[in-house]
Amino acid sequence: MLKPILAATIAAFSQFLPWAAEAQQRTLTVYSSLDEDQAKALIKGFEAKHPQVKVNAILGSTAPIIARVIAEAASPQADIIMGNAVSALMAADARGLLLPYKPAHFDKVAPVMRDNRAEPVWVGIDAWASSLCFNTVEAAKKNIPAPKTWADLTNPIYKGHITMPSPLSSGTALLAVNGWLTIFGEKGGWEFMDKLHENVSKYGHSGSAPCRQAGSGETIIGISYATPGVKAINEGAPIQIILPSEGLGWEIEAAALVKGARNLADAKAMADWISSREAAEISAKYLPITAYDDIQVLPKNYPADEKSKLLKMDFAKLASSREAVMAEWQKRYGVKVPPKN
Amino acid sequence: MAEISAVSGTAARQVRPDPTGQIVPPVLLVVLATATLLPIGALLVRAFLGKDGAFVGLDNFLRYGAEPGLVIAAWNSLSLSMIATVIAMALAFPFAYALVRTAMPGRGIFRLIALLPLLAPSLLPAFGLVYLFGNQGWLKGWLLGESLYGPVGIILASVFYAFPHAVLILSAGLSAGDQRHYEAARALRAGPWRRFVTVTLPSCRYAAISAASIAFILVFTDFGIPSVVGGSTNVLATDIYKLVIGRFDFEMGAVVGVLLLLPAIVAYAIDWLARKSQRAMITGKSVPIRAERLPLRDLVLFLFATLVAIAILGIIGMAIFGSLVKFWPYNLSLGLQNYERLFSDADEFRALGNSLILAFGTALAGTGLVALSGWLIARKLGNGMIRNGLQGVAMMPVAVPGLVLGLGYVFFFNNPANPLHALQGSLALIILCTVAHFYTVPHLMVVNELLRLDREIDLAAQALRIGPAGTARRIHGSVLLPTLIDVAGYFFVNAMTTVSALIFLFTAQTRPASIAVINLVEGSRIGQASAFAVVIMVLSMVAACIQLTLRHLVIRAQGWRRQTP
Repeated sequence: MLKPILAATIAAFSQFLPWAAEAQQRTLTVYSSLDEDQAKALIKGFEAKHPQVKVNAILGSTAPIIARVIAEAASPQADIIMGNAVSALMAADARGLLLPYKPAHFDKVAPVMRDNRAEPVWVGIDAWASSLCFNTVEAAKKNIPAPKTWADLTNPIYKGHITMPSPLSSGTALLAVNGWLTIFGEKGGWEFMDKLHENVSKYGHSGSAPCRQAGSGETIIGISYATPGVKAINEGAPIQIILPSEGLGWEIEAAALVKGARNLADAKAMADWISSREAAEISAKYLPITAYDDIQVLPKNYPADEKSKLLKMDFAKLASSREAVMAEWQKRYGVKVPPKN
Repeated sequence: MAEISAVSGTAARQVRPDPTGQIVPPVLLVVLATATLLPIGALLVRAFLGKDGAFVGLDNFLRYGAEPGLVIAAWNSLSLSMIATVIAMALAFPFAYALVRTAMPGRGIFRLIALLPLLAPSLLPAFGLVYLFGNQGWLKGWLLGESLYGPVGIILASVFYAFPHAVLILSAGLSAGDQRHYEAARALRAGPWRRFVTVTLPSCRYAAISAASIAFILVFTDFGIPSVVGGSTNVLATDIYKLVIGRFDFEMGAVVGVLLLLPAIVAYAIDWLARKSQRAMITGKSVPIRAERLPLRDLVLFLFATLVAIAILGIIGMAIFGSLVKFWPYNLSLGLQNYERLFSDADEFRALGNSLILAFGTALAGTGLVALSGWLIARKLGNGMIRNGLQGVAMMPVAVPGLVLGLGYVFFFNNPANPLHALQGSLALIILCTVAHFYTVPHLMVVNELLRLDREIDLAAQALRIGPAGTARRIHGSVLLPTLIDVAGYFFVNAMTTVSALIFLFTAQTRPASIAVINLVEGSRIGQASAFAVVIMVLSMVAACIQLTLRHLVIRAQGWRRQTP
């Protein structure tokens, strides 16, 4: 127990002044929004193959990581973004902050999981999809049936029992909104959300919070994604992850090089590693959908049919309509709070 | 003969430019401006620039004005901050009064409990409130059917957040006065209530104004509370998060940053007016306050303080309880499983180490700077313009949301053209940012303390041919010592829990524990996040105990404080 304290103290002191840091090993700065355990496992795999490189990882939520990359544009600090929503990466790409690169195993990656432009900027790591977390204990107390479809959520019986993130601050919410616009069409999608709005008790900021709130009984239904729900179930939460039958909005988490990277060669080596089957096998332990189609592992308590329910989505169109969707949402639901229940 | 030469010596001294007053203020102004004004300016100037960096005048403001919901967010921000400030002041004033002006038992314990909200990462009280008043909360019925998530939650959490800041400033303001005023009032047959209204209240007017403006601004600019318990209630501070983080629109984010500065400018003006009319409360003949024993009053205040303490302990205690249960609220069996990871994972351990270094560094650097700036302002040394500049720079950070400050640091320091660019990514920069972030309250504490000293003391020192530096060392230093200990403690505990300014500045090596807590929340490890937050709070409590002990020892050692006439 003393050892980590000592090591940490020494490491912390050596970092007090920038020029005091040891320069024997090459370092690589990685920004990542992947699940913490997944990111650490991927980095460990990389360092095993490249022992001369020490990876410094900064982990954070999707949007703050990209905001940081954009803010640091004058003198980029990151070498590679190892896992962030493609829609958010596109925002950085539109500002010319990413460096096109075709990693070594690019061609073996499932076509839908890679940037198919002539000069690819990103390569997919995994994908996540919107889903519902449903608290069975609280629902039973109130005699509320489990919803099976998105359309079910507009039933007045759920009034005041649904929480979801706001698409203005959460990529997960945007995923769900884009899914509804794909399922019900432009007009039908907004009509659906108008009715859903009547039942929503609050719009939060975090994409994983609705599942956590369902897990602790603060809400009965949380519109979120599967991973936080799986974790809550593993810890003992009485929730069920429901994948509505109309299909799920989803998005890819991908890796991309940062333009101006100081350690470009090692950053490329990292991108090569990320695109490898071996790396995908590591990711498969955390999420079922990875860059390699044929890897079939299901993490404990993860819903089995997520992959088959993914909607066919036009990512290019969604990226270009991002601003407009946010503005429309703000106009309709950002102004007035949901009605009192 | 000797007398004459002494007088002429004084005259000569007054003619000669005084080096302390000439050199120190400008140097300090440059240092503080580099830590606060320039980085904040580097971001806020974007409010007037387009995405391509060209000047666009007020376009961004018009664009923001056209956003639906702005008026509601602004109204929510103003009204909720106002209500929270009034409640926090109504609780903090009697509490601070009881702490420093009565013979109520347990004052040391009460002081520590009042500081608790400062010691805990903001996540902890948020969880505590959810466990108490959320949909599964034990005391849900107390809200009379109102939901926690919304105005009620924002006000409750904001009062909890602002309370210790107000108590600190008020108790500093109340802890000294002149006992002779009370003797005089007593001789004039003024009863306890009359003495309170005619002597006590006027003597702490300035501290009350400071405390209220600080409480208001803290609540007005805070993002954490509305994001956790605000439900769908929009406020300006969450707007800035949506714009910068959600939409990567730094220009509009800067517009909100400018708007959030407005109430601070008003508060600054009020503070300036109050300072102008402030008369010295301690003169060369002053006699330190002796707490009066009024059994009935002391009993009432004791009961009141107990209620407040129970509320604070209840909220924090619930959060600690939450970190010890297997799974809230469905499996309440107790265990330490959430703490195990923290003591087995080297990364989390390093984060704790980083936080301690950050906290020590911030306490040292911050206390030094604050002592200097507060002293220059209160003793009116040097050029008046520079002094007003210093006061402005010192008052600014409190009005700036951490997110704005942190982003400003990135824009300002992470620029190859900046000679200080080498600091990027270092713990030193994080310390500077944290000092800047929490500068205002300690600065006010020092100014308040010194303003109560009479100018006569300076004149006497001058007659004794002691320069400003010598006066500072011999008189101000010893008057100020207990306050400086409080200041160091304030910097320390805030550095332990700060988050918003650092999310753009930490690196893999410098990640502090407060950020580690956020990372755990993001990873949906709520139990471990609460456990880590509890560990941070315990470390801060140790620091606070050291602070209170030191303060006590210093005051006991300073014989002049208990001199009897």
